[in-house]
Amino acid sequence: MTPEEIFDKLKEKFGEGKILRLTLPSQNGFDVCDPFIDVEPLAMTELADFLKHDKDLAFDQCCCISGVDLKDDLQVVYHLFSMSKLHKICIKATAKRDNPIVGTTAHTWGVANWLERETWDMFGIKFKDHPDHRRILLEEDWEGFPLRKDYKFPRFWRGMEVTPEEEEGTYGTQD
Amino acid sequence: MSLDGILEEGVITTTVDGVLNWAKKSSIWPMGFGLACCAIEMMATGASRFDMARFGCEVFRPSPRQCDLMIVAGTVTMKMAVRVKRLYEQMPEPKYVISMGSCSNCGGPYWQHGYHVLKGVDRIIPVDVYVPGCPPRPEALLEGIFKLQEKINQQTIAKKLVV
Amino acid sequence: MEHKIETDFMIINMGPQHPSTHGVLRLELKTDGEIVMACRPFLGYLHRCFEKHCESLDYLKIIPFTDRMDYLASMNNNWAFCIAIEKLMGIKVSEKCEYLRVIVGELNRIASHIIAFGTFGLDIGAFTPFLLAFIQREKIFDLLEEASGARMLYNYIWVGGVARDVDGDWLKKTKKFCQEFKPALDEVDELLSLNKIFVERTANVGVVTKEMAISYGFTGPNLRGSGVNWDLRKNEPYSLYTKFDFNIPVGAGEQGQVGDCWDRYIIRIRECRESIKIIEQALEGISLEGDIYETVPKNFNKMPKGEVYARSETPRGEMGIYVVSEGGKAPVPYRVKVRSPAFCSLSILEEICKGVMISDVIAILGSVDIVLGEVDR
Repeated sequence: MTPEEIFDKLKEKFGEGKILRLTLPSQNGFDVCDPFIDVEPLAMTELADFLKHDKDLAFDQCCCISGVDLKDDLQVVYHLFSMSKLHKICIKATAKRDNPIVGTTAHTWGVANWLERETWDMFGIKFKDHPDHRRILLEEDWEGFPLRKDYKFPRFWRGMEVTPEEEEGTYGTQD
Repeated sequence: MSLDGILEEGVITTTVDGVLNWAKKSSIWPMGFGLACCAIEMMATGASRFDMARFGCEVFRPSPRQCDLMIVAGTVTMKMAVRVKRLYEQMPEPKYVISMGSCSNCGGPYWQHGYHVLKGVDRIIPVDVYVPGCPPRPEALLEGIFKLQEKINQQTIAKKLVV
Repeated sequence: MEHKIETDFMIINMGPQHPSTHGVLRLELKTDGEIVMACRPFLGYLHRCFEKHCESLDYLKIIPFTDRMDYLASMNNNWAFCIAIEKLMGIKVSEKCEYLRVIVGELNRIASHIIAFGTFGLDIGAFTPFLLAFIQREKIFDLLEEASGARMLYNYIWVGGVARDVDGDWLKKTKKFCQEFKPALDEVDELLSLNKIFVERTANVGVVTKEMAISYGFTGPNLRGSGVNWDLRKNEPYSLYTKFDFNIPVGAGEQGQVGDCWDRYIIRIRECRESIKIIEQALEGISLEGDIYETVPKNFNKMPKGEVYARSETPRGEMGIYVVSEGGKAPVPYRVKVRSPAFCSLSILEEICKGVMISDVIAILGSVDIVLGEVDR
């Protein structure tokens, strides 16, 4: 199916309130991009279920879930692929920065469990109804979410120097 | 007892230090403890072409309680640093540490933006020999072990008592 | 399984320092005697902040960091990242460079598979195949060292080209290696694959069904071990892979069920043979004329605004690179996310380690072939 057909099908099923818009390459200010669909973040759970189990869509493989810090908002990007139908689509769910909550897809794709935990670890995006909502890479007592753009490197962690004194202030800044 | 006639029968005289050091340096048992990229080069050092067994230190032990040498091979992250320290404490005396590769020497390429990387393993445990490189070649690791053997050879019991 | 004798549950911590976790992985096993009731993996002991580095360094400086991600297959990682950036910038790489990339990529794939089945044998208790395989691996390293200048972490494949040219002598040496490698691989194959002890330890252990494999994001040899005929080199060809004639080995459950540890192991042995086939064809096809820096961009001042998700087949499976660029004169990417194949494959561990023996956990872990540098990044 082409991205347009997928978009129409989703819109027909869920309505305009949940499926926001479709962006094709060289639209909406992008020079290069894969076709993507913006959706309502909390609708993600039922949407994922539909995307996987619908006969025409059959997105059985969840390639990648990435978080992106858009400065005002936080975004979760899903790259989906169908091995039986050989089509792909990118889904984006944008959540508010002060309370980012996205519906989980861990019940649909097994791999989404860990990928969502990683997104929580790095960006602090909460996933509603996630079965195992813990940090995955960093220790539980780590403060802050490292891949947010406004992250300040800690000076110490458990008594070990994270930022050596002579370098303080230059860390995490761009040259 | 007189020494007359005994020396011709094949007896060698030496010092206590000499014997102890010779024993220590000739069978260093390293810990099979790999962290990152350097661990693969450590494996290569132990495998076919380079064969650490030639220099009396091929018995990689899985348990720290049976080891003399800890080769810190790779990036020590914050989460791992706690474990590295504990493993070091579990090793019996005399114990030696080789820091292998830039990452464990000083943080290496992760010096500036690595918020989760310890900037040098010598911040948590004492290091005897530093091997530079990213990753060091197996020859470099072997050279590090020779340097360690030289160091062991210079130890004396007397000095230890004074300290 | 029904137990008549009741035993206490015991929590065993396996790792992070354990000889057969292939790096620094910690598994918390809840055991009832020898049976594992639950297995919880803990990661992050090698989290080296790759994605944070990407947001602070410019495009060319990132390539050495991709080397250190999956340190067993650095060439393929360089390549995956370069494919993404080339897709973003719309660069078409010259044919000579593509040939060189295929040759070094496949050589590195063999080196990586050698580690995979060598250490797998080591975990199961076979030491000799490991030593025999390492002889061949050193020969590959000699070739790659001559081409790139480094033994393990190469920084060889650049955006738009490769770092250094090769000469006819190198091609001859590579050809000679291909001929020598085949009998050496057969030797390892004969020694290990049908060994009674090895088969007993791996067949019917850690069975992953087709549906589970796809749902848990298995890719590469692991997915093919579960009986799915899927290889990005064939199904979504990039570079020059359409030109070569090679087969995709698929697990068929020869010793047990489809998708067991033995299937995942044998796929890697067979893939080495296919890689040799590809290299031999590439050596025939390559011409030494032409400039390797022809398509290398002079600078990165004209990055388009946008994002790409590019995937390619590394020895561990599908490596996807998601790059977001702000466009204009921004010298650094806005965001780089790596979809690491080992991370996704590892997530199945919790599921398939229920009800197996403790020694089977080792076999499962070895057969999935993880590299912690890539899992934690």
